[in-house]
Amino acid sequence: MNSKLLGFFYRELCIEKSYKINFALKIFSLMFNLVIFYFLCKYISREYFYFLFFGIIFSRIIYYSLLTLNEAIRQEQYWGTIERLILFPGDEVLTHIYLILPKFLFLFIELIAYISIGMLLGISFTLQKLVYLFGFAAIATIVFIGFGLFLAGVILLLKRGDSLGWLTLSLIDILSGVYFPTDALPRQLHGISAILPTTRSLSFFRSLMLESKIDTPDFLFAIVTGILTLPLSVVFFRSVLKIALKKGTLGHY
Amino acid sequence: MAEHIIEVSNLKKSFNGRTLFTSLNLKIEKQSVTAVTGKNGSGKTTLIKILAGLILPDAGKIIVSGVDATRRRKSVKKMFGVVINPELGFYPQLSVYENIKFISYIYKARSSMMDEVIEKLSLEDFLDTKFAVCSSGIKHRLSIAAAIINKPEILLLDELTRSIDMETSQKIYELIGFLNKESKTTVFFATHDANEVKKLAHFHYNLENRDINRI
Repeated sequence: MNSKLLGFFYRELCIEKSYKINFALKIFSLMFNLVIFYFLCKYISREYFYFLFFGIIFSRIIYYSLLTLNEAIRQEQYWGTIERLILFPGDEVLTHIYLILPKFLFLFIELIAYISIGMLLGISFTLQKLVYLFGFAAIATIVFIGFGLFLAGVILLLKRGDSLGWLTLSLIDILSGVYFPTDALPRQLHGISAILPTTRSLSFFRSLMLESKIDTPDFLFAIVTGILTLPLSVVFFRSVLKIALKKGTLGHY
Repeated sequence: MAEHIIEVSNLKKSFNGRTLFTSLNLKIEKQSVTAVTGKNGSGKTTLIKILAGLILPDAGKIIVSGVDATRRRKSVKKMFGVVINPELGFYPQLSVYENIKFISYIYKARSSMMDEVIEKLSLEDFLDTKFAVCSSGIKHRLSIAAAIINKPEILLLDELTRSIDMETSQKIYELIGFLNKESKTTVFFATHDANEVKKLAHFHYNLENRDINRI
C-alpha cells in the first residue's frame, strides 16, 4: 500500500483508539433509532419498515460520501493540523482524499451492524443480497465522492458551514425518498426529486435489495452524473484551497 | 560565486487592504543559516509561510533550486522542513511516538531515521506522552523532529525558541548548527532574539517598511 495512505490509516486508528467507546456509542445510537422505527412501523406495515430500513442504509452511504471530507477538514482546522496537510509531499487534493479514505472503514462496520440488527428484526439477507449491498455501497461511495468534494469546497469558502452540510443531507433524504416515497412530496418538488442522482440511486438500491431487480438505467444516470461531477469538483476544490491559501485563512473555522 | 537555493523577486502581499510587502527581493545562499528579524506585524511569519507554500503571494516569483515554486510547488515540497507554531500541527490525542510515526509514513522515512531523530531531539522519555499534555519544550522538539525526518535541504523556522527554557534553546541551537554543518541543510529562521541571530546566523535580514534589508 502507498506509504502516505498507510500513514492516514495509522493516524485514523490511533485517533479512534484514543476515543475507545465513541464509535461503539455511535453505532448503538443508530441501532436504537432503527429499533424505534421498527416498532413505529408495527402500526403501519412491515413493508414500510423494509422500505425505511434500506432508505436509512442508503442515507448513511450518502452521508459518508458527502460529509466525511467536510467534517474531516473542520476537525483538522480545530486541531490546528490542516496546514501540515498542505506541507505534505504530493498533490493537496489527493492528500485530502487520503485523509478521508480510512474513515470509510467505519461505513463498512456500520453496514455490518445494520445488517446484523436487520436480521434480528426479521430482514433476510442471502449471500447474493450481501454482495449486492456491499457492491452498491462501494460504487455509490465513489460516485458521490465528487459531490462531497464540492460541498467541502463550498463549506471551506463559507466557514462555519456545518449547518449547510446537514441541510444538504436532510434535503437529499427528503427529496430522494429515504423516509417516504417521492410521490408523497408536493407536486412542485417532483421535478427536483426526479433529477437528483440520489433519487435514482435509491430507487435502484431498493429494487436491488427488496426485489433483487437490477434497474440499470436508474443507477447509470447516477454513475454518469458522478463521473461528470468528479473532475469539476476537483477543479473547484483546488480553486477554493488556492483562495484560502491566498487569504491565509485555511486554518480559520 | 555563491549559489542561491531560494530566490525571491518582486514579492507582493497584502491582507485585507494592509500591505506587508510591496516588492520584496531576497536571495538565500545554499547551505547557509539566514535570520530574519523585524517588529511584530512586519511579516516574518508571513514570509516563512509564503516560502513554505502555506500562503500564496499576490505577485512575484519564488525560485527554489531552479524551480519556479510559485507555479510548481508540488515539485519542491519535499525539499522543505517547516516549523511554524510548535504548539499546533500535531494530533493532541496521539502520543509523541504516534505523531512521529504518522509523519514518517507520510515521508516514507525509514524506522532507523525515526530512531535517529528521536535520539537527536532527546525525545525517548516522552514517546508515550500525549501531545496535548506535552510541555512547550517537548512540543518544540517534536516539531523539529517532524521537520527533519525527511532530511530536508531547506529548514524554515519561525520563532523557534519562543517561550522555552535556555537549556532546550541551547540544544536546539546545537542541532541547527549540526544540521547546517553536517547535513548541509540551508536554514532560514525568523526571530526576535538578537542573541539567537548572533549565535546561529551567517546572514541577517530585517523586515521594515514593507521591505527586507540585509544588516
